[in-house]
Amino acid sequence: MSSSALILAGLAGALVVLLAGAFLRGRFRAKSALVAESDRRFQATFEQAAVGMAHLDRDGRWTRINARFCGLIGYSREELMAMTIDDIIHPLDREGDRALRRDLLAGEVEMTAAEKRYVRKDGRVIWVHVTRSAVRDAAGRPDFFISVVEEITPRKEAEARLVSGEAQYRAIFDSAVEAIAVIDADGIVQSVNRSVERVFGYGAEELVGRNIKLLMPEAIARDHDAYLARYRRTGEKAIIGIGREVIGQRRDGSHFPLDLSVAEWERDGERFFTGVMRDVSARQQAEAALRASEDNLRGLQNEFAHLARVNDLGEMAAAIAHEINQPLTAIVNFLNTGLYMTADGTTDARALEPLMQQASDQALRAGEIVRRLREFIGQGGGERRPEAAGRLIDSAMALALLDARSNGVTVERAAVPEELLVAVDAIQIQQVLANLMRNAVDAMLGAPREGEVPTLRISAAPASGDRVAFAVADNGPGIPDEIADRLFDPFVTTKANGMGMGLSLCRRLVEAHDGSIAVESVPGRGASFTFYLPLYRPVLH
Amino acid sequence: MPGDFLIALVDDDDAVRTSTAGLLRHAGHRVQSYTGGAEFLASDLPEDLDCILLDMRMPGMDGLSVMRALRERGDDRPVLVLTGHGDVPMAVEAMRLGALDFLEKPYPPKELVEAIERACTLRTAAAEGGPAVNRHAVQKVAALSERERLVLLGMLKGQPNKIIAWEAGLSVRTVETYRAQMLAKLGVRGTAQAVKLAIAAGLGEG
Repeated sequence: MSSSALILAGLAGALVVLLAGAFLRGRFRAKSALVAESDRRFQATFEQAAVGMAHLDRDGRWTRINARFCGLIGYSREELMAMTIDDIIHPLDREGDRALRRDLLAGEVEMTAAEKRYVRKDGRVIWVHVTRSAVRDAAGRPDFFISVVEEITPRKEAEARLVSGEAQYRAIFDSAVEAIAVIDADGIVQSVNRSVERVFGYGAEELVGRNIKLLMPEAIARDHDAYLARYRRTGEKAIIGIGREVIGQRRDGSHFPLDLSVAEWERDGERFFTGVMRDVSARQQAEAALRASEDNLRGLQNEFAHLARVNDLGEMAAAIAHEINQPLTAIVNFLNTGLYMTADGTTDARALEPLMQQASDQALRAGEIVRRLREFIGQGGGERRPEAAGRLIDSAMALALLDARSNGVTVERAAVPEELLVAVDAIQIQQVLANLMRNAVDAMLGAPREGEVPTLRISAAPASGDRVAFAVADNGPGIPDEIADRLFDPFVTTKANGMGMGLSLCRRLVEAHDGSIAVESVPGRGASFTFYLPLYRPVLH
Repeated sequence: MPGDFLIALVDDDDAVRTSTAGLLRHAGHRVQSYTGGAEFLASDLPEDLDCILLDMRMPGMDGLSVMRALRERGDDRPVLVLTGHGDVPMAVEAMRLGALDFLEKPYPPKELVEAIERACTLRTAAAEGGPAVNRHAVQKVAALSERERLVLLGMLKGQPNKIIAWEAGLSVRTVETYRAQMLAKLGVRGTAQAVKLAIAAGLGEG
């Protein structure tokens, strides 16, 4: 080879190297520019992201932090670089976060996403959502993590409010005394509160998902589906928003009265019904007891009125008796003075005349007083109304026979047809009956007979001539013959302290009702008093 | 007729007052009439007034009020009270307040005159006040059984048989029986006389 060829080859080679180098350098520069450009874009993305971004190394230290992250956390980049992840995680969330990092490191997962709390530099706690992914090296091992951090505090707070609000409603639902059940449009139970268990005896798990008609007696249950269907079709509210008393059926099959109110509501286009139920068996019992005691009270008030009237009469009689004594005393005085005068021998009529005149005046005065008594008895204030004969008897018995049984008297009250009515002043006829009963009891107790139980028989029955016959009979000593005729006259009595008003008053009251009274008696065997009143027939329309 | 007495008659009823005054005058006594308790107490009573005839039931000031007033004044002149029929409690109360005797209207006039004369005579005889305990009455009352005495005491309180029975734990029937026995043993006809006897025996004091 010639030396010039060598030089030429060398020159050519150098030229190639130069050219190649220039080419490569150009390419290298071009590539660098691209890389630089790419790098710059990456920087911008990283720096200007609206979310917090950071690179964490395997030890939990930051190698890169964007501005947003700093802003979230409140520390500067320099401060954060000197800290580890654990320094900013809320103590309660640290353990969980370490576990996540371990999994990532171990390659168990590619990415983690979790909500946790950070503690800012100023001490405030914020909620964040952190997504982490691992970046692997050439060997496939995790090299560092990229974290994307989003603050979710407002959402978390709203959630908390929601949960707390929900907890409150749940508490209201559960703590309600009434049993509350929610069903869908097909009658399927969605939820029940605790009181349902208490009222019906079912646990919640036994009811949710089943048809509500499980809680109804068969007779109502079989129609319930139809009711629901009809409501869906027509929209006619029979119970919704209205409330009603229905019968419920417990788990053990027993039935009880329920107060039910139903409300309707919608969610996501679906219809639901809420039933609020209250067991009212206690209330019904109380209402029944109240009614019974009101009846009792009315009965007692009637008795009281009766007694007051009778007492009035007694007092009136006493007052009148006293009043009558005045003119009687005067009459006795005047006439006796006259007698003294005649005994002394006075025959002067003019001397006697004023005495006799005054005595006469006083007698008329006494008559006036008696007339007032008759007025009181006759008019008596009460209006006449149709009354059941049986009830009149019962009221009188309640009054007159308080101590009869305890004194050993047997009382037989005959069954009286309910529809047997008389148009009377109830208080006056009760007085008559009570009077007769009292007399009978007194007579029997006053003359007890060996081997015979004192027995009082009371009855009311239809009698001829459209009348009702009330009878009070005893097995006492009977009426002595000598007074039998005058028994109903005033001031006739067999009692030591009797005023003799009873039977004459009875006659007066009975006759004022267009009735009559009579006695049948066998001395030594007993007496039976019967009075008749006109039968009342209700006018039919 | 043992002398004439000056009697004060207090009664609001015109006819009763007039007729009683006429009767007493005819019996030889002098009568000073008053229409009511207030009038009576407000008047200057005559010095030689022998006894007072006092009606119990008067409007305004009733007999018991008059008696209390007399007692307060220290006036111990004999008082006879006139009560309505059956007014035992009032009579007993009057006797406790110092009345010497009582009569129930209407009374036989003879009894009135006798009672007045008894009262007026007693007054002159016994200078010291207070109802004299009658030995005869004491004897009679002592002869009563415990139950009969119980009924008598109840009567003195003005209790009706029902209440006596209730308090003693007896039946009304039983009480009525004892009452009848008691009246018979005392030899009296009715409540008024039994009461008078009891008071004369010193029962029911205090």
